[in-house]
Amino acid sequence: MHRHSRKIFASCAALVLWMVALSGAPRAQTRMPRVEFKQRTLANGLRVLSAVDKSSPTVAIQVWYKVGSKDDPDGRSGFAHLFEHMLFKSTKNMKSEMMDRLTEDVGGNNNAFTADDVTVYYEVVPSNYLETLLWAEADRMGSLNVDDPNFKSERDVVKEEFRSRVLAPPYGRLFYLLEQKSFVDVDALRVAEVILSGGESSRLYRSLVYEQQIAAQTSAVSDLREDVSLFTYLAILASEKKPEEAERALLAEIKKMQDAPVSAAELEKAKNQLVTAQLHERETNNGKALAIGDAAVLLGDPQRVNTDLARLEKVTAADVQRVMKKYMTDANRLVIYYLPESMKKPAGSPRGTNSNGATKGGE
Amino acid sequence: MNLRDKIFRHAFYALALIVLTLAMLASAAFAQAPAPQATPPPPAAPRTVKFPAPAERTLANGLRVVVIERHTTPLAAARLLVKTGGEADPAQLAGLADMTASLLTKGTTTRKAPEIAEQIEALGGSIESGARWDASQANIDAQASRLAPAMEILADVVRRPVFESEEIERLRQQYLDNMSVALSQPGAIARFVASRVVFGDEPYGHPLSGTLESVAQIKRVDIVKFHETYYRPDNAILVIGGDVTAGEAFQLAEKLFGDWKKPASALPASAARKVSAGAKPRVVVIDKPDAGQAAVLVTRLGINRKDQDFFRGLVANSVLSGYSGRLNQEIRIKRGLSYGAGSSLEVRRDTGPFTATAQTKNESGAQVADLLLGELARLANGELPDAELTPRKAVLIGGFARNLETVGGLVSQVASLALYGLSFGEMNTYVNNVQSITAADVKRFASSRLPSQGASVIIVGDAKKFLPALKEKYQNVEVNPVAELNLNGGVLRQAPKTP
Repeated sequence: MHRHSRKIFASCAALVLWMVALSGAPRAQTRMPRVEFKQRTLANGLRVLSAVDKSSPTVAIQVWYKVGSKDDPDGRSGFAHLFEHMLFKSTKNMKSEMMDRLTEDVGGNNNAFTADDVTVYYEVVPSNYLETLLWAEADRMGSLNVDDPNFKSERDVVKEEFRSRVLAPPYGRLFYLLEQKSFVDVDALRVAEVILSGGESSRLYRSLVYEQQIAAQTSAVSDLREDVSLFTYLAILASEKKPEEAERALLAEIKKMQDAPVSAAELEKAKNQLVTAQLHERETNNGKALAIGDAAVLLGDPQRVNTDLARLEKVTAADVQRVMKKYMTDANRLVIYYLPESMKKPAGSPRGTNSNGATKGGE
Repeated sequence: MNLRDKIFRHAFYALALIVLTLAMLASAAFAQAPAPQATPPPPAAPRTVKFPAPAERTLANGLRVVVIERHTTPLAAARLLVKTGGEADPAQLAGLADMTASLLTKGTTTRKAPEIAEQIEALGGSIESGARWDASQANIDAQASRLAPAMEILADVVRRPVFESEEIERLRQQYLDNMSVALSQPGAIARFVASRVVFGDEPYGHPLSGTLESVAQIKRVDIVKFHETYYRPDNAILVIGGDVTAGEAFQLAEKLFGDWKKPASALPASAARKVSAGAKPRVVVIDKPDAGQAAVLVTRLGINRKDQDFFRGLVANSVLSGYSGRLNQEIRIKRGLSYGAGSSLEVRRDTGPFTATAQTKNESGAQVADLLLGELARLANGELPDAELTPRKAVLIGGFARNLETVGGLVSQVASLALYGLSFGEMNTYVNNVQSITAADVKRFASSRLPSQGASVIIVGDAKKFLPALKEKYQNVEVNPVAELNLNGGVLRQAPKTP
């Protein structure tokens, strides 16, 4: 995060504004308040999506560039992230760190993140500063200065960021590569994700953390993008446990989902959890803007910000079982163990390869 | 000049005028569109939001109930606070309050742990519990239409936990695992050591979640006794908020907590007490040769939540901390020595700590300690221009407003004011309270309440890479190998083996 790149494709960038809104929403059985947004495209191709909300005196501004770490040049991994940092340095009209002056100094904040497909820059400021920040985003979109001192000092910061993240408890991670997904499949995968890892009654928590006590923490995350995406399982190991045990337990839970349909109660619970999660996300203006940006840029249609839940309601237990079988195959799987130095196998022992040929590497 | 010439000339001038005007209009239009202006446009008039006053009443058993309404999103939240937290841990049983609170959701007389999780999550809600300094707490978040069944679970876990041995052992293992992980990280070790350096053997000195030794010693009987002693309606506050009316909320509170019996015994006094500020500053190094980075921390006693200097302290800390605060400016932005530097002024029922900290490569450990202390001294002695102070106050005001954007944030803020016996009006006076602080206030606060001479320095990292530079500056450097670190007391060293 803070300070991650861009190649500018103004025509691909989506600018999402979320201005604050109408209050006094009707109370009732939980109904998702609609996100009313406007959309237009400037002459230069920049798409602008905006929505009004007046319950908080703030405005969230997000600029989504369709470039990310998948665009890192060969042998220069991390380039997109470092580039993201550079957008906080100087431009033709702004001194270094001026973005921070324009946000923090008025009581707002700003940040950015680099994902595989996108780099997103955002600001949350008192709403009367909207025009000021639009100017600043336009300025760094059009006139960035990349000079040597800026670049070197920022590269040092990224190095410290890297050092500060190296230490982590041991974990095992399973990745499944998902290709050519239909909309129905995507929805079913999202429901599967919640059944597997939503809260302490989820299947992974109940089995790996609570009952078997193999893991201290588990998660299943579906990173569902337009083209190729990943479904990732993570188990942070409990002390004295081996990654092989966690891998076996994860695979067993995946197999259960493939062998039998989930119960009606589990399905209902997952849908309920998805409704609450969406309500929480949209409590803040920045959260609403992220939802619009996600729908417009990653899902390809901003209307999905209002239609996704209705589609999720249609997911059946059979759908969930079907996608688990279709995508969670041995051939689609990559397994990684992250271990501290002390748990490393003795030198000379070969890197493991599991029975189905997926690579296991220590980091 | 003949008539024809005149007509011609006038016509020419008229035409020229039109062309010129058009050209000017065109250039104006051109300037408006693509050529960007060189300075940012000024802000429009500011907008404000006023927070409604919470409603409150006290039940016959002494439970204080507070309700804050907000109807913008169909969400609701409740917080049950017991006004006793980690400060009440007995000396040998650090972590007792936190373990007790964490076990609330792990089984009641009618629900096993998995059932609690299953039922609250089936409602689309969540429950969590734990202790902090000054309070033990259970929280629920839920869709407003499901608040009643969610609160039934909240009341059950607070009033009727069973503390099953199996659950205690499971949690104990998790605490030990978490502590082992924390003890491999320089930043976490530095924070644990800092508490011991500031508070010694006093109530805020130990790690909130206990030490490897104390957690191993906690027995079921200690947990049951802690719950019996402190979890009582006259030592608790219930805050309910979100898309619910005060009438509905009070009714729920009465129904679910009205028959919670108040014990006949008197309530035990708070364990927290003022720590003497006279303790000598220390310079403590924890040598961890395998550390990839050194954690550097400067710490001293700060203020309590009800201190009359609270807002001065808040603004003073804001000048130092935050992305554009002085610490990060000097350490990250100007020198690239760290991914981030910052400080905190933790306010509690009694005096809490002030800490300034940064992680850096081992070689820069001593330099970063100097920079942290230097900024503390500069705040007391140097200039603080309005151009710098005004934005640092805006940071506080903006952060405050953002925290209150969510129902959970709003309810937590109300709960915190209730816990410390402060007026709910503070939510609406906060902005003015911050705005009224002057540069002279900050300077006075820094010199009288946070003098750098009283601050201790802690560095956790690969000592050989920063110790020579540190020793040049300080004579009283204590060096502890990480393997010998003892967090059970202020001395920090393992007691010598007695025969």
